Amino acid sequence: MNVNYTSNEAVVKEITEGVNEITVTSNGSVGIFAVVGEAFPQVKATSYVRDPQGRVVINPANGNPVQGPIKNLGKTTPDYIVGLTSTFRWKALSLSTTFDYRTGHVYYEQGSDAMEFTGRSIESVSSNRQDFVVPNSVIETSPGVFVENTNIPVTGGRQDYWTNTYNNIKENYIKDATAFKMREIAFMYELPRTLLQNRPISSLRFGLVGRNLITVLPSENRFSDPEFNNTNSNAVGIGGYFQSPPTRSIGFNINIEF
Amino acid sequence: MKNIILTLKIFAVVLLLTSCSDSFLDVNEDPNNPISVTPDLMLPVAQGYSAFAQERDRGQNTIGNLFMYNWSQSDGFSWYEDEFTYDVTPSFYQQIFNYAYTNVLKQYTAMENLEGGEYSYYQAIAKIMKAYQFQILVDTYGDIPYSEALQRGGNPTPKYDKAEDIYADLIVQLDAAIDLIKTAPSLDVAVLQPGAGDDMMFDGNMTTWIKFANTVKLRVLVRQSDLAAKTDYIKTELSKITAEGSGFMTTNATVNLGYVDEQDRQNPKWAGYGKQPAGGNNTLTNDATCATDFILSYLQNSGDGLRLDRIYEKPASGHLGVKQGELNYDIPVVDQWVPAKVSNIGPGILKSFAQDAVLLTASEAYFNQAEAVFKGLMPGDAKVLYEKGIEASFVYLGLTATNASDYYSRNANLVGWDASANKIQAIITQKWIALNGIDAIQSWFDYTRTGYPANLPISATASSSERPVRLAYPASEITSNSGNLPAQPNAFTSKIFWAN
Repeated sequence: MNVNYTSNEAVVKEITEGVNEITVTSNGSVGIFAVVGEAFPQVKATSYVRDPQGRVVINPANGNPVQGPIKNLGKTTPDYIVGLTSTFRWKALSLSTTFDYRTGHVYYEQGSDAMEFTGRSIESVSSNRQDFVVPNSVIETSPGVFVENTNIPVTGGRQDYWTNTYNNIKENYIKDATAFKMREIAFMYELPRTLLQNRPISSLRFGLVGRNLITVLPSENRFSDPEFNNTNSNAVGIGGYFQSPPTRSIGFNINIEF
Repeated sequence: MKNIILTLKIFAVVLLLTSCSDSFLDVNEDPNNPISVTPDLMLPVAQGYSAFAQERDRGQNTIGNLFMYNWSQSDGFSWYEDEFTYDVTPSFYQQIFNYAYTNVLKQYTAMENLEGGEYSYYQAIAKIMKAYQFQILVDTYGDIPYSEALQRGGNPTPKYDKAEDIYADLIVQLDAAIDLIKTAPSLDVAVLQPGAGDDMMFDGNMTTWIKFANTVKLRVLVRQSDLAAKTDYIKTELSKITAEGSGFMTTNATVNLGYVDEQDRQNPKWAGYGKQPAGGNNTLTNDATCATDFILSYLQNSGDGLRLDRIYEKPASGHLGVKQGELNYDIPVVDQWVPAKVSNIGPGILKSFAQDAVLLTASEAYFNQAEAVFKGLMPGDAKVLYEKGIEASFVYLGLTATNASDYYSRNANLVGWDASANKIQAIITQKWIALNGIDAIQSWFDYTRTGYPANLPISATASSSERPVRLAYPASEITSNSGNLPAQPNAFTSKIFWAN
């Protein structure tokens, strides 16, 4: 039995004079950035404007949330990874497993974004496709003065609110990338060496191997495996649907040594 | 025999020695990635960028058509909702800013920076095209990076210059360009002459380039003509144009790269709003984009049926438009506004995959002159210029000068010159019709400046009771040039300097 703990902290110290931030990849609404003084890589996305109590500020003209600038929403590499590998042997049988757990990071989940735009998300029917008052929202009546909004409903709750207003605030799609995974489990049988004497083979093992059988994700991420990133560049943390979904595999394994 | 072998050996050695010339084994020069280019290879690329910035799907022309209530959205699409809510955020149409700097202006700057008198004509063209593009950026954003911009690695964080100062320098740069063209023949070097093979706008005709420079100057000056303090300055500059003598454009300033009906090689407007290559289907954007109800009835009610049928496609069931920001397309009738039933963009705007990309129309050149003359800023006959502006619009759309005179001879307000009580309103309103679908971003600037055309509706889902007067600085600047970026001005109230 073997337990592994890995922690890696990368902080951007400086870029070049006069530059505090550099874009690794961005479409203007969401992207991966290197920000001086922050962990790298950092995901930034369009956000809600909130009052000091954290309530969402809306536009009194149409009841829709005011879209704020792109802001830091967290780092996309984990605080730590705990790995557990174990092997149990009994006579000629062996059972080996590999688990890991990683947490402390977020990622931008494109699938949830696309489902919102195409009207396939749970959120988009949460108000029965009617206009509704954004819960816990406020109106800024004068600079710094916020009054609770109890009666101004959003505009376009039938469709436009979800496909555009809500969908444009990409903060909605930054999800917790925590994952617990059983990466591999292998159940093997090794032929006794006595049977192999005087034969050209020195060892022979066979058995069943399962990969990626169990993945436990937090409830807010019911969409995709956060590990499957769109690119293998530095732009860690943008994933969802430009990659084939991760698959389970179960196989039969023969291992012959000569 | 021995001698022969010896001779062969010597021959072989000699052959090996002589074949080792300097270039043969030199792998440091990659023929596929040249380190220097000649201006005749830079110019068509740059002009292609200019055309794309103007006519691309969601480019300069698009935002003008949406803000000026020319275009709306058919049923079945979620295409223009951000535009209808006037959702002016840092990601909204950021491509206007980003593409201008990273493609258009970068390319012209490289051409402008060529050293030597032999490049005079190319340097002049670069200056003119930069001025043309920078004006659109100032009109859209106000203060922008200008004097320190485009130095690439030399200065990644350029400061923002005042819009008004940039405007003044555009005139200086345009004068310098005209000067370069005029002095080039007297230089004691052989000046490289652009030609039909590399100048995709005017086939190397430098007189036309001077006319275009004058027309851009006119645009810059007329835009400021509501600022009383500028009157004398504008008069002086306009008199310099008159003294120069080449005059203004009488044809459209267009780019044609030799567009063909293949993927990525069509005219950019056709590629975005027309049909897919090789006789394919309508693009989705073609189906999604249609007339507003307002513009259809405006043209119908003003006796402009001929242009109406050219600017907008006429379905078998007759013209039909949709208001901007329609929230429920199925009331009162389901499928009433599907693409087949509404007036999509018409045949006078979408002509063919090979059509010219329009950077500045002749009609606008005439209307700008008409405005300058009417305001007493330069001599001329405002009525004639106004009517020529309308005529140029008719001709561009595929109609005739007679059609035009039948139209403007009518005794109708905002149509006939004499019948119009407010001449400026007539000029700007006619310019709005003439630039519909072609260069509508100019009409948006005019609207901010003059408030015409009057009674233009705002979108039903607008987040403000006014239409935007500028765009927000893009996300890329917030990220990488935050030290210089001014606070985001209010997109609905903070007008560009020329409108104050």
